[in-house]
Amino acid sequence: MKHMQTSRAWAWWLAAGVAVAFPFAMQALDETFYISMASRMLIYGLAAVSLNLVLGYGGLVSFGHAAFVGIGAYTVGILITEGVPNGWIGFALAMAIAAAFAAVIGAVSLRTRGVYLIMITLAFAQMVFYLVNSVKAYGGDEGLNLSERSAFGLGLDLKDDTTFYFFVLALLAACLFGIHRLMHSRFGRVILAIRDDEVRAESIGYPVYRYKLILFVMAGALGGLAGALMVNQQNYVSPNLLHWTQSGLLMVMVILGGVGTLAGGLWGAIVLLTLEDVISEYTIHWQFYVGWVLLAVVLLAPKGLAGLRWPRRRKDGRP
Amino acid sequence: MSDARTSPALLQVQGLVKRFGALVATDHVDLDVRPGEIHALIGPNGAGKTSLVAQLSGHLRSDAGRVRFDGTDVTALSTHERVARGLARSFQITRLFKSFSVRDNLALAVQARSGSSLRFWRPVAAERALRDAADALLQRLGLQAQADALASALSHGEQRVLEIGLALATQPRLLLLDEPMAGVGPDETQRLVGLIDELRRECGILLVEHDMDAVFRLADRITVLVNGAVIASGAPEAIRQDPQVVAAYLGEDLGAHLAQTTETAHPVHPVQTAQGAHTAPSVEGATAGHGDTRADGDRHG
Amino acid sequence: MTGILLLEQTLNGLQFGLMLFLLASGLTLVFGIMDMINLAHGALYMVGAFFAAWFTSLTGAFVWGVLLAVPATAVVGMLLEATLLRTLYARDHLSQVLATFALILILNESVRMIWGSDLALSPPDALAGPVELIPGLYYPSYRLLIIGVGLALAALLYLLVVRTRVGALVRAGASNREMALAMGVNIKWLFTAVFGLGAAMCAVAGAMLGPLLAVQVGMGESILILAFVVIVIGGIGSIWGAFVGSLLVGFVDTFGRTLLPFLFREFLPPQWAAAAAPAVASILIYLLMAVVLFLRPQGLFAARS
Repeated sequence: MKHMQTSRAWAWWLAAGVAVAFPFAMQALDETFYISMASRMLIYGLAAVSLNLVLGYGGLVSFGHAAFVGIGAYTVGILITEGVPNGWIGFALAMAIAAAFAAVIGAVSLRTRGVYLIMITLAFAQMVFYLVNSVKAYGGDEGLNLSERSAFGLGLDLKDDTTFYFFVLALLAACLFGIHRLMHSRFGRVILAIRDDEVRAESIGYPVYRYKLILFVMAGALGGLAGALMVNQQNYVSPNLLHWTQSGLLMVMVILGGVGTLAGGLWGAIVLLTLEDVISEYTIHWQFYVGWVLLAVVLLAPKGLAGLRWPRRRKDGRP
Repeated sequence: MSDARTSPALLQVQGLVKRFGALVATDHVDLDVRPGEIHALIGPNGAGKTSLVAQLSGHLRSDAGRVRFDGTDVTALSTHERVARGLARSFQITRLFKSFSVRDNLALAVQARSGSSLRFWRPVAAERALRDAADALLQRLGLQAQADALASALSHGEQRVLEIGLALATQPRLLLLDEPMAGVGPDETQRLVGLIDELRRECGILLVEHDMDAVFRLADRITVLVNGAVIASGAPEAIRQDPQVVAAYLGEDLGAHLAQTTETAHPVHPVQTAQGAHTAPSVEGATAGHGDTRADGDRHG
Repeated sequence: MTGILLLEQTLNGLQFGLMLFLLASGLTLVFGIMDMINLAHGALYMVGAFFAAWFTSLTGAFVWGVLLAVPATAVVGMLLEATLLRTLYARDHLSQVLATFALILILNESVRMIWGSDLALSPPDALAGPVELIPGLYYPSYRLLIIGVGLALAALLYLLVVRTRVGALVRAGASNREMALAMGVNIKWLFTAVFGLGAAMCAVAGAMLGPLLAVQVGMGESILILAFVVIVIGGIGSIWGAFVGSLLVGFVDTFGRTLLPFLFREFLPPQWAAAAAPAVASILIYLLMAVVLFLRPQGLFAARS
């Protein structure tokens, strides 16, 4: 058991090392543009990781996750526009409001399952999209431009790309660690049990709906956090961020990277965004090629996605 | 057994009704289970046994009637609320947590009754108490050797044992066992019978079964369900002789059993005893009169 | 709010609802019978619109544009079904969502590569002007055509599903797929046909709405959501549910957008009304969906057993 732990840990340390060294390497190569690009990838990674909570671990196909990301982004965006650039307040509110929306949407949606759940989460997210789109005061469909980034004090100048990168990296690492602890905790076990057999979980005494809802709200809050980071990174937010096709892209990231794994969403985000950037150099039709890649993954995955979905746990029960 | 007869009912079902469109799956069923007794529920396929169990466990909403558990009306309660009060169920088609180990399956059930699971930080692996309780259950079920194996890797018979184990882990006072022997070979059946027999000391059991050997070995009382209604209920010997019951089964299982059990106190020839030695079954519900019209040809494949 | 205006809005709602029905009916059948979520349904609608625009420019006549677009789109749909979508029927819903999402990306870009991001499509000159239905009410004749076509197709679909053997098979499959399979219905053929029919109807909707809403890449995405809402409200697998749901959504959306500003101005200070009205109007149908779900989680006319 111990040796399995350390081999996984080795991979994590390596990734962490690369991540930390990356901006310095880019500075040395005088390609600092990539630092900002990497931040964007990490932020999308966080959004995908938050979706994986409900999608991969929870086994709930929620098709409206972009709404929570967008809500987080708009919360911070509006606050900054209204003269409240304080990051502590902004980020906390972003997560809280996203969580509140998740609570309401989840309360209604989680009473359904299968096809209905997919369509209802989709519809509610689109509802939020239209809501945001119609608020002309904050840009409407043209979006909202920001003149500054969130201010956290502590000597952190988030306007500096490298500082921002490390800020994002730190938050991402903290979230990944938190999710890791979560899935090994009592709550996490129950969630995984519900994913295996919801009826059975209920039959041994777990109020399944309640647990799903709590998970859904957590995922929404984390999505909001990703949104708060996103609006900072782009200095801009538009309703397009909430469009259901964005939810689809997040799902694609989760699948590409390996659904139901801790950092699958992160790798998927990196792969997808890299593909986008690379293919866009040659053609504007990058979505065409990504579409085929995605199709291939879905169709050719060894045991179908269902096999990848719930990776076989090792004998000691660890994922 | 005399205690079982005189103690107040642990589970009391009154006038339960369930319809699916025009089909009456549960037709004004009355039933009770006393503590320490094994009450078997038998009937041909399609009689509505699983529907009844589902209503008792809270998986299916009844259209009418009441379910009282330990004096409290639980009719409106959800499944998990009933489990919390000690009313647990095992399933006819095995439902296990396939990606968890055998021990972890049981640990999950133990966890449900050991305080809140709204804990988000501390690893479950650190909780010795859960693991110990699960291990104790494993011993009891005879599954210690497979403690670390995935539940999906067990043989069918072992899975059926674990199936009951999961229900048992919730520390029930009443167990609803839905065809525990389903698809199980003779050796495993013995094991299950032994396990269930032991369990009677700790909790009341409502046992739905087709395996007549097991039923007559274990049951203190038997209720017969045909087309959703109770046609007979009482001591096993009485049920054996009840012509309506025999006819309902078209003689196959029950009749074959009757032919074999020559050592019983009441040798039976269904035709001869129809008028004579017929002992009136202690029918708990007023549906005995339906037997004649219902008893033919309702054995579904 | 005059009576004339109300009548006009009623006709608009009817027109919109009928076109939605063309999409929703195909979608609900595919859901109900093949148990498949098809996100690419909206893309077929787009393909139909593009075909119509293209054929119209080739032949010079709108009629030919529509008449040619329908079979062309149906063929595309059936090809997709026979090659790709068929493999998804047995898969879980998540796989279906992702695969058909990939299909949207591919189809969108394919259209863009072939025709560019948009194509011009105008209604035939004969129908360019308004018609005086009752004194004082002038209604665009093209929209009347849409209503006519929509009603005709709805009637045809009704006849097909309710009065023919094929239709009976479809209804059987929609309410109990396993049973239909067990009864030996030639499923593959039936599925392909159902899909082709759905694609054909998408094409009609795309072609007819093209002149009104603009033929452009991505037009399918926005209407697809509405079709989903319709199906959730109407009940999966039910054509009648799709019809009622479509009209409901069409009316609620149309009246919401036109009546709400009036209502809000009565009760709220002007700047609030101006801001709130469009916001609430746009989410009205989703609120409707939530209400229906709360009262009847399976939809109004759930076909599934």
